[in-house]
Formats: sequence, structure tokens, C-alpha cells
Amino acid sequence: MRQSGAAMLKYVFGRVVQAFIVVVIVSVVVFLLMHLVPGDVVTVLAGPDPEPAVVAALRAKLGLDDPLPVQYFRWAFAALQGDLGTSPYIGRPVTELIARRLPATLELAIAAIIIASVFGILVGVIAALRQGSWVDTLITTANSFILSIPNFWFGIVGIIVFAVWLGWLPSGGRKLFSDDPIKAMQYLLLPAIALALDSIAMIARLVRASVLDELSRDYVTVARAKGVQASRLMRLHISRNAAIPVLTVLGLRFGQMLGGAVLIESVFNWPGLGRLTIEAIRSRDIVLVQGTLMYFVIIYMAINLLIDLSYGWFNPRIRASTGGAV
Amino acid sequence: MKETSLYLWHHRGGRVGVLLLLAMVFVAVFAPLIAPYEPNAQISGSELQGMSLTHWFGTDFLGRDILSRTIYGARVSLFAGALAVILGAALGIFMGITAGYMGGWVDSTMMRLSDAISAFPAILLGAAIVAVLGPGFVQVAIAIAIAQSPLFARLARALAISEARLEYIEAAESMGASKASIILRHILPNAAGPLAVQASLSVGIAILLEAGLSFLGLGVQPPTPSWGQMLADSLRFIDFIPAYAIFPGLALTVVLVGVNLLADAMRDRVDPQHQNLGGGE
Repeated sequence: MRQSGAAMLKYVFGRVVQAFIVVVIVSVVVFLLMHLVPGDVVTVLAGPDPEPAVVAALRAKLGLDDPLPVQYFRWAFAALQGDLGTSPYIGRPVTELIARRLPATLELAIAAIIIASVFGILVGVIAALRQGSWVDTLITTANSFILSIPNFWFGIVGIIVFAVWLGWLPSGGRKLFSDDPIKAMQYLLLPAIALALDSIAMIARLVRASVLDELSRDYVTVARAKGVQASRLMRLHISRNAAIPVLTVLGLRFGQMLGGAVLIESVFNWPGLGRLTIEAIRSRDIVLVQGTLMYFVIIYMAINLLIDLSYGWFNPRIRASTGGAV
Repeated sequence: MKETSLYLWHHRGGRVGVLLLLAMVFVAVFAPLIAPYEPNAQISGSELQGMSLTHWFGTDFLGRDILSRTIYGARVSLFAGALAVILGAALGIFMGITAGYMGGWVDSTMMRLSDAISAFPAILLGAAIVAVLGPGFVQVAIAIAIAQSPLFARLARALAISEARLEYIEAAESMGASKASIILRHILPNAAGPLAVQASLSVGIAILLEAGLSFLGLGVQPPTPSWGQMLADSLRFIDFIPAYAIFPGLALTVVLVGVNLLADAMRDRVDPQHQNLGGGE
């Protein structure tokens, strides 16, 4: 018992170190990439035809004359302490700008994950229980097709049908739940469905495969022979065993969605993190781009790490075999 | 090669995929013969028209024929997708095989770098690279290629490691073959199948990324017609001519359906055991 605890600790430690190394490399990549962007902050801040003295003073104030490694370490150490710098254009700290957009991104991601799980699981279970029937064929074919539809275009079609033609839903924007929950739902519905679309198909595929896999196991045959009801079997046994891969995919998708759904946010004028980053890239706000990219990568790595660790927790064999390997 | 083509043709989904793609390639190549108008011709007085017999898909805000622009858009989409995958595969395969065959610090450095690249949301990494390189066709293809290289790197590394253990490589080494020649003459040809599957899967993602970057205004610049940019324009006029948004997106979907059907068929063709080496995600 003690031995396996030590192995687990070693495994966790190894994965955390590995993730940290990747984050450090990412920070170097982000930093160098952003310093390759043509044109710097000063030329914008100082305005047209600036006095050389003004430019020099600005460069000194922003620390742009220091050697690159010095600039990198200054930025990286501040970032470690939770300070991602201040956007020179907007004049606010990057962390504040991220925090301001986070609720919208979180709201959209949670709604999309709920829609994806409910419909994905429902459709997948139906397909598995009706294996080989026309329902199954229809669902399987539709899934492949849905996985090929660009979700931002699906969102645009949604706007045409539900906003332009039927007038049931707004074509874009966001309302706060605290102000008017019904209105907020109406604004949230289309972007959330568009964002969830491919996840529904992915989850449905996965659920169908896992349920079919479980249905062919001996324990199911035995339980059926003993007269256990199908619905009870599904609830108590099959659902538990099929849950792990589904949760993995949902977790990964959630991690990606927390990075902001740039295209969906742009289609629906949704004030989330993805649009913040794109706006920053367009205005060449290097500090803000650096900050948001680092935030995405850290969130993504953290969720991946959690998924990996939960695998190791559930399955001791993984712990032993992937000590330090990729 | 011939066997693979035959297999794809007899595979139900594969045949549909091949036909859809051939049709789209035909449209792209012969765009000047098929399109009823010049894609950039601005017909004054006929801005923002709906569907009609003279303009089947209507006209855009500058009075350009949407059908003609959709037809020409196939060129950017298919060509950017293909170029991005060729560049991304070349970069990734180089990284992966070098890493797998050399081992040691080369291996760890290459693999951590590819972990780092794949930790970014692809579209934002692409957008950031475009910000450095400037917008344009080749720049977008390079950006997408970099974002996709880790997939190839990981797969190529796994294949190189499993091949390098085989006896015939040892034999070649003992006969004095250089590392480069072993990689080129032995490891690469044997890894071709799984890498081709990965490439076919990547084409779909690359085409989607190109459309996404163009939609954000970071792709091919106007007036060259691209589907993503047409979709972005259409949003501004969605209340007047919804058809504007339908056709470029539909064309994009048809291409993606074709590519994905073909990729599925190729995956069925190649030994399924190899699938686990790459790690699809």
C-alpha cells in the first residue's frame, strides 16, 4: 500500500514537472514570437512624427532598450507572481482585462458542455441500443456529416433561420443572467449550440462505441440472464464504465472552450476571451497577446494534467508504464 | 499505390469522398471556364441582389457575382489546405524522425517543443504567426503548417522508434550506412502509410483553419475571393441577403465532407494497430 502511494507521488511529480517545462518553453516561444511582430508599441503611443527625446523616454520607461533575455526574465518573473503586465493601449492590467472577459467565456463554455453531454449521451445510447437499425444508421451517418460542418458557419445559418427568418432569437450580443435570466438564455442559446455541435457528434460516437463494448461483456450477459432490467443495468453498470472516455473528451473540449471560441464569439458578437485576443492581435497589443496566450496554455495544460492524473489514479498500470515517457 | 486507389474506390465512403474532392478540384482548376463572371468584376447598380437568373447566388455589396466568387474561392481553400499540410508534414516528419532516431537531448528538446506548439489553440497560434509574417496566402499556409507540425512529429517519432529497433536497420548500420541514408531509404518509406493517413486528416483541419483565419480578416487579402472572408462579409448584410452566407459555407462543408470521408477510408486501409501510435488528439 505504502509502495503504491510512493509510486503515485512520483508519477504526479513527474507529470507536474513535465507540464512546467512545457509552460516555460511556451513562454519563451510566445515572448520571442511577439518580439518578431513588426512595429513596436512606442511608434503607436508616441503618435505621428514624435520627438526623438519622447521616443527615447518611452522606450526607457517600457524597458525596451534592455537586452531580450533581461526583458524576458522580467516578464516571466512578474507572470509567475500573477502579473502579466499592463496593456499600453488600453492602459489596464492584462489580468484585469482577462478577468473582465472570463465570465462570458465561462458561461458559453459551460452551456456548450451541458448541451454536448445531454444530447451526445442521449443520441449515443439510442444508437447503441438500436444497433443496426435505421435509427442507428441515421445517427452514425449524421454524426460523420456534422463533424464536417464548420461550427461558425452553422452559427451563421442559425442566425439566418432563428433571427432573420423566424425572429425568435437575437442575432448576437450578450445579456447578463443577473439582469434578465430569460433574455440571457435567448442570447446564449444559438452560440452555445453552435459551439457544442461537433462535441455532440464526438460524444455520441464515443458513447455508442463504449456502450456497445460494455453490452458485449460477460457480466452483462450474466446480469441479463439473471433477469436484471435493461434500464437498471444501463444505470448501474454500463454508464459507469462508459463514463471515463466520455469525461476525458468533455474535459479536453472544456479546456479548449475556456481558451475562448474565437470564431463563434466573432459570429455572435460574444464578448469573450477569444475576441479579446484577436482584437489584441489586430491592434498589435503585444503585452495583451502574450498575456492571453499564456493564460490559454496554462489552462489547457492544467486540464490535461488533471485528466492524466485521474487516469493514473483509476488505472495503476498507466502509472507504472508511463514514468517519464511521452 | 494502385492497390490503395482501388481500395479507396471500393470503400463506400471513400468513393464518395474521392468524387466530391475531384469535383471541387475540377471547379478550382477550371474556375475561369465555369464562373459566369469575373470574380472581381463590380457590376454597378446591382449591389446586394438576391438570387436571380442572371446572378444565381446573388451579388455582394460591391456588385460582384457571388457564384463566381464562390467558384474561385475553391482555389484558395484547396491550395492553402494542400500547401499547409505539405509544409506541416515536412516540418513535423523532420522533427519526429530526427528525434526518434537520434534520441537523447535532441529527442527531448524536439518533443517538448512540439508539446509547446500543440498547447496553443491552433487558430490563435495561427493568428499570432500571421501577425508576425503579415497576412497573405503563403503566410497563412506557413502559420497553419507550424500549428499542425506536432501531429506529424509525434507520429513520425513513434514510427521511427519502432522501426529503429528492427533487425534490418541494425544490419544496414553495421554495413556502414549513414544515419541520413537509413532515415531516407528505410525508415521513411515504411512509415509512409500512417503518415499519409495523418496527412489526409490534417487537410480537413488545415482547410477549416484557413477559412477561420480568413473569416477573422487574417487570411488571403481582398479582392482575392476566399470563403472565410465571404462569410465575414455576409454577416454585415445578413438581414438583406441571407443567401450570401449560405453558399460559401456550403462549398466549404462539401470540401470538408469529401476530405473527411477520404481520411476515414484511408484510416481503414492502413493497419489499425498503427493508429494508437499517433495519438489522434
